[in-house]
Amino acid sequence: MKKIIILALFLCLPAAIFAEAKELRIVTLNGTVSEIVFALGKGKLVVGNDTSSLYPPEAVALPKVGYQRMLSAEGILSLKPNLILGLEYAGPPEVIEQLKSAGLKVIIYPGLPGVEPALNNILAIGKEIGAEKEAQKIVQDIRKKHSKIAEKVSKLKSKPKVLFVYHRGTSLAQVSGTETPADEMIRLGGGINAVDGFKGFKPITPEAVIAAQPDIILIPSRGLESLGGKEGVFALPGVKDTPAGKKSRVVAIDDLVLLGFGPRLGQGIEELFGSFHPKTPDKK
Amino acid sequence: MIVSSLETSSPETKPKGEDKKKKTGRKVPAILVYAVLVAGIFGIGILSLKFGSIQLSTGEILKVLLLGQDSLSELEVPHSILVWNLRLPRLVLSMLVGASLASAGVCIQGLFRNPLVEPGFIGVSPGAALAASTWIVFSEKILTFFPAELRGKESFLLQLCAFGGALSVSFFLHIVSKREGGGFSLVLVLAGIAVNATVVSLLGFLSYLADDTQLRNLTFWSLGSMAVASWHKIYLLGAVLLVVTFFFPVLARGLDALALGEAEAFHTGFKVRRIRNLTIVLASLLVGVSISICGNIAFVGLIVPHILRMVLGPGHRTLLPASLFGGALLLAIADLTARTIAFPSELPIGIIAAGIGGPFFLFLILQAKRREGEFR
Repeated sequence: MKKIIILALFLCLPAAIFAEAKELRIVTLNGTVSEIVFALGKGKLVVGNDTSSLYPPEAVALPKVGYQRMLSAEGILSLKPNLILGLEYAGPPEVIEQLKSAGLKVIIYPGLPGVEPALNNILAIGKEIGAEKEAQKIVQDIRKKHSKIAEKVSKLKSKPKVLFVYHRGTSLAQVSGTETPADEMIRLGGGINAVDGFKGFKPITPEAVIAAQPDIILIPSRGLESLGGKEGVFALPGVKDTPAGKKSRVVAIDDLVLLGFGPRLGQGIEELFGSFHPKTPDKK
Repeated sequence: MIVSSLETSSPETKPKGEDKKKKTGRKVPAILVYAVLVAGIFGIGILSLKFGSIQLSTGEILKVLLLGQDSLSELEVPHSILVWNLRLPRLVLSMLVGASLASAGVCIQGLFRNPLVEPGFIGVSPGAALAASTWIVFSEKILTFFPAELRGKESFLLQLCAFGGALSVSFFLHIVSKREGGGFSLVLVLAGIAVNATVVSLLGFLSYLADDTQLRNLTFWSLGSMAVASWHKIYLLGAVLLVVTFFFPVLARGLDALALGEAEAFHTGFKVRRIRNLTIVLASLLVGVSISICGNIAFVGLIVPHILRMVLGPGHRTLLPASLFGGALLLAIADLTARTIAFPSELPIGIIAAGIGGPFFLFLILQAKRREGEFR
């Protein structure tokens, strides 16, 4: 028994000596978290991420540990990480527990859509990976853009009704109700969500689309691609017979910019405002 | 009749790992089959503990398991954690689930006297999944006066609901497909299809009501995964399986009697109704608890009994225990595949089981058709 303890202590020695100087090896379990780490200039510390990590291009090339809700403990371990960062969607919960039991540092941040939670996550991750200055800078930039647009939004005389359409591959198109990232972004960009009868996402029905009378159809870029461009959007049931269909107003914005609530949140709000209100109303 | 033809069919396929000596005659000695299955389980067990994020040598595994000695791996994760927390729970859980589903398959095939039915296929497993999903969605919305630990995914009431779902479907099918003389009942298959279709639509409706987190739990069920393995779940399913195995002798005698036909079984002094009810309850218990723990895994209950019937013949006294081992072996292989084939990601085990099972089922149907000329 003594021998084992001594042996164990010996094995711990190098770890103890190099603990201070040890390079972080980060695995990120969410697209937004990946983007934050790269934006903070620490992308080279990331050794793997999940399938939703689509930006920046360097992040795409890294080893994938699977979809963030269907992770595998051994897969993550094999990348020898010493820090695992994710949002609350990471799972199954049992796998997160297994990783913690293996002695890994796993930090799960809240995933609520909203400007403040997003900024808090950026600051918290910055603090965790030693990039507080960079995090402050990004946060200030987002705050500046956000407050500039918020001021413009407060002066608006009318806001367009926006219908957010979510579409992936062959699956049924869905529209966003309340309490989703899309709903929050429409508000931040100075629009009104055309659908407010339910929470979350629901499959699209032609009557509901016509009844909502949206002025603009908002869709993530990947969704637009999978529908085959604007024509595909207007081919969706009911869309043609709405004001948006008649004026052919479709706004497509990159998925992570639009819904990620990450480092490009400020840019997303600006882009949305710009496309919702192409001619800024004259201040009187 | 298919059942009778099975008794005279000679073994054409042999399970994996069966030795090359071709036996003449109709049956391979049971003891040999058990030996092969147990050896296979040990082999796969060692492989499962070996492979993963880092390869362990057999010596290292034995050190951890038998001597309790521990050392750090290159990953800076102790070997004991790799074995005890990550690999052994998955291995044991997949074996227990495989054993449960295969045994339940034998029971259901014997009960309906139809070797081509399977818990997933006639709607028993989907029924369990539906009940479990209903519990997930509604326990948190409606039963708000319940203490928190009795609501949602972590509550044992989830297993109870799944058992109830499996039981309802089994009884329903039993009532619907009951026929004088038994045998192959087209009604059963049609009723099974109807049940399945109904369950799919109800699941769709549930997913419409569910919030995001609940929805993820529902999708998990349709695919199945062993990543959720924990010792707590193993104890739960292990206890259930242990209880059921105590009934194996009774079940085997009863199912053998049923195979003769309802009337004959009655005349040989069996309480037919009691046997039927016992079979339904035990099979539903196995299916319900397995599915509520690790999601819907189809075809195990079909493939395993079938291969073993070809080798052993239709007697339930050997078929039941052999299926227990066979199911354990098959799912252990499937889980090892699921977690290594797309490393560092993992595939849902349900996809692998169905990928093997679907074509195999088709092969069985074609074989039966060749022998029978047609289904009647």
